[in-house]
Amino acid sequence: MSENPLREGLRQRRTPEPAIIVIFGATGDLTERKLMPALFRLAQQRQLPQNFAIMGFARREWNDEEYRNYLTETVCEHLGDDFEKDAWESFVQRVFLDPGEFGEAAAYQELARKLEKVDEQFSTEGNILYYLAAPPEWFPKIADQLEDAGLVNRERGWQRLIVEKPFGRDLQTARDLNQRLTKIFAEDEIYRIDHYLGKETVQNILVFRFANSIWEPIWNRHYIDNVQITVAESIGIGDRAGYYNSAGALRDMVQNHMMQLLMLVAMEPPLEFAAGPVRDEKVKVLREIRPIDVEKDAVRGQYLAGSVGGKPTIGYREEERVPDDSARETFAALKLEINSWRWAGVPFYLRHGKRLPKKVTEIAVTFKQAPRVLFPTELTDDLMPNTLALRIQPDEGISLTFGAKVPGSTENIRNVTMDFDYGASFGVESPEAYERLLLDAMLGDPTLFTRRDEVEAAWALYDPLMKTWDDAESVTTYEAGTWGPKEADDLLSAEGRKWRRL
Amino acid sequence: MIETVSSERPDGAAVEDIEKELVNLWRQVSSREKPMLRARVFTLLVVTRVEQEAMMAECVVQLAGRHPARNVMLLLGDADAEESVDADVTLLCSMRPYARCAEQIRITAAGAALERLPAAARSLLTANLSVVLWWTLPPDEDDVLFQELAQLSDRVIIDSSALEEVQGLRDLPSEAQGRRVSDLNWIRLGHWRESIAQCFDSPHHREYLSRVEEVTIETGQNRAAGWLLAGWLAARLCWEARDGSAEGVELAGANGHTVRVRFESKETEYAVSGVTLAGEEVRFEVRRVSETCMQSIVELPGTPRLEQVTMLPDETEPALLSRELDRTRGDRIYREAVEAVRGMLERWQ
Repeated sequence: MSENPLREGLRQRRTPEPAIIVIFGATGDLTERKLMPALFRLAQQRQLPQNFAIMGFARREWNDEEYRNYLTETVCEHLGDDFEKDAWESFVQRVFLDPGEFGEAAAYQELARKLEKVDEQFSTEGNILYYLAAPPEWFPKIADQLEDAGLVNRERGWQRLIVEKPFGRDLQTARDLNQRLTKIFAEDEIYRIDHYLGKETVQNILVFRFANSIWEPIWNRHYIDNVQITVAESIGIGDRAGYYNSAGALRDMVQNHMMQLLMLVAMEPPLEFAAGPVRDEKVKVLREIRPIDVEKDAVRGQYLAGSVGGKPTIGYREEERVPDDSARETFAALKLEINSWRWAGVPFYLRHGKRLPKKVTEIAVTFKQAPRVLFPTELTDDLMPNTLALRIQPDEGISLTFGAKVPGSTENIRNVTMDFDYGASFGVESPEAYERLLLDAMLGDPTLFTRRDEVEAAWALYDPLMKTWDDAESVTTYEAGTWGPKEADDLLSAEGRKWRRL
Repeated sequence: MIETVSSERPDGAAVEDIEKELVNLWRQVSSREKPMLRARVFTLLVVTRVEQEAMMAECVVQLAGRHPARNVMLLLGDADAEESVDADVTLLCSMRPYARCAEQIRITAAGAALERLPAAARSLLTANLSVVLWWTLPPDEDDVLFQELAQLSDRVIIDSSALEEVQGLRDLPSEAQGRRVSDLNWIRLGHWRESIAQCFDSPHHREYLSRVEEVTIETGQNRAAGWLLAGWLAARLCWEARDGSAEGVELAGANGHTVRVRFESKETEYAVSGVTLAGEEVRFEVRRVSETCMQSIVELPGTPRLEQVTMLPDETEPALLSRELDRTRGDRIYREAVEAVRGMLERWQ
């Protein structure tokens, strides 16, 4: 029997094959906050196979029981109302730990031995999903060690590898990492994660564009004036100073997550909704983007002390473990141009920053003005161009702004908004991005993961800009709680445009 | 928390004035500090008896939080009473997590006015949105009111647990006036079907499906759900009914071997409390272990026993309805299960 006859017609047509999930970095923040809660929820929704187990790999010298106790203490608070004692106790009995150093060969021999035992206990048929949630400098070494220990053998079952970001820190390091990993794992066994693609509202961009007929005829340079993508964060860098001061806003958010948003907005319709065609179209967008003019089209900034949401905040250089003379950017604004028939002449403006006035992620598509305004200028002074805003978070939804006549005998025109609110229409919380991505990787569906050429094309676009910014000794500043440095406004005002007020 | 904003007319509204009343109510809530969203994803027609009104109204209020709809409650009074029709309108508004309102229209009819309910409902349908009929009475395809309301609808929701006798499952409509039918009793079995199916996701476990010789379904007083579950197994696994009685059925498995399905009555508030599929050296068991959890156990030769406890989804009526309303396609699996139940019940005759 090749398929389960009892699955037919159930909510989930396919469940993953039996497997062990091996997490490198099993005591890290990501595992605690995202991975374990996501796996627990998937198990509770019966989306995981009955034959599954989890093996953690971490430096802590704990036995299985100690690791389970640690998870029980730490994960439960992230589960909130989803925690149920009996279900958790049953789940956590399937979790094991192999303590060891990432570079220590003996630890991988021990891992192999333990995996064999767990495989026997849960009949997981040799299928293993490795999740690299360890510090990125260990990624190639872990892959090497897995191979040396005979843990990528494909003789029995499949082995796949999920790689967390950052995937390299520039084009060269990304290429090197790709080369190292593809020596051991085939491209279709590597799942490079960008958790933005696991968000329902991000996936909805494709549905919005390609499941509705009304947008496609106007989704081009004839009707669209510009596109603005904003990912604003009100928080600072928290306790990530070490990573952030080396990465900056460009690497942390723009080059990966924001480019995913841009690709989904700008891509051509794929032949079908499948991994190959979708990713082909996304890569085409990246290749069509004109090289960034570092002087003209990019603005960076670093936050000073200020106040956000009425609370005083310190400046970036005052943050713990940030060097006093750091010139690292915490804000980036860019203008990108896509050299295609659809988008020639339509600027895509991107802005992202820390310590901005509020947390908001949205894509705003601003349409061109009507060719001729029939109404007296004094009555249409405030009239804004039609704008379609795709709100990714918070208040996920879509709104369209247009002009309407103010009731009365004059022809006054005012902007009004037509709103679609995700929550109001569906009244249900979206699943966490990691739930969807983990499930897809277990099912072997790479549609929502980034492909090698996609990652490299994104780095290639940003490499010159990153090099300039990495080498810079000074940086423009902005007061915390504002929308970034004045130069970011100038980037648009020079072309007669302005950032959307959020 | 749901706040209700009702029509101020103490004597209720005439059916023809309902739309006007609704406009007034929307104006009232629109003038508030925070504008209320008017979200409607379909029209829900709820048919129930006057005595059940409070229970159904509560359910509709809960459902409004998840599926904002225009809710039209048709309350059936005594058919022999004097002719009467009353109507009133309410907005069910919630501020959290979203400031939005759903419309609720209640029409109570008795005597000869019962015949006019379909016409009243027709005038209250929302343009261009689908219509869902939730028929809370025992399903009866020959009922004229059921027929006429089904004709107005795109889909019909019934509940076979309202049937007094298991034999009534034989006449269960799997289509009503050509409209798709969903059965809440079947939807309640969703997590049972998922948990049983999950036992056989592993190809290794699947090999043992053909070794299953005995199925035990533990049921509460109402056995309709147990029979539907048996029908589902029979239809999916191509088991043919050979013989039957109130206690169980004998079927021929796909490879000709005999499979016995037994129904065991238990003192339980649940429609189904446990299901075991067993054969020589093989046992797959799914059991309700608490109000919130289910346990599955797999015992196979030469492998360690597998046990798993998982949480049950919300089983309240609004949650069940809500899950069904999320489904956009007809349920062929349900139709085939009902067909298999008919086959089994015929053998019982």
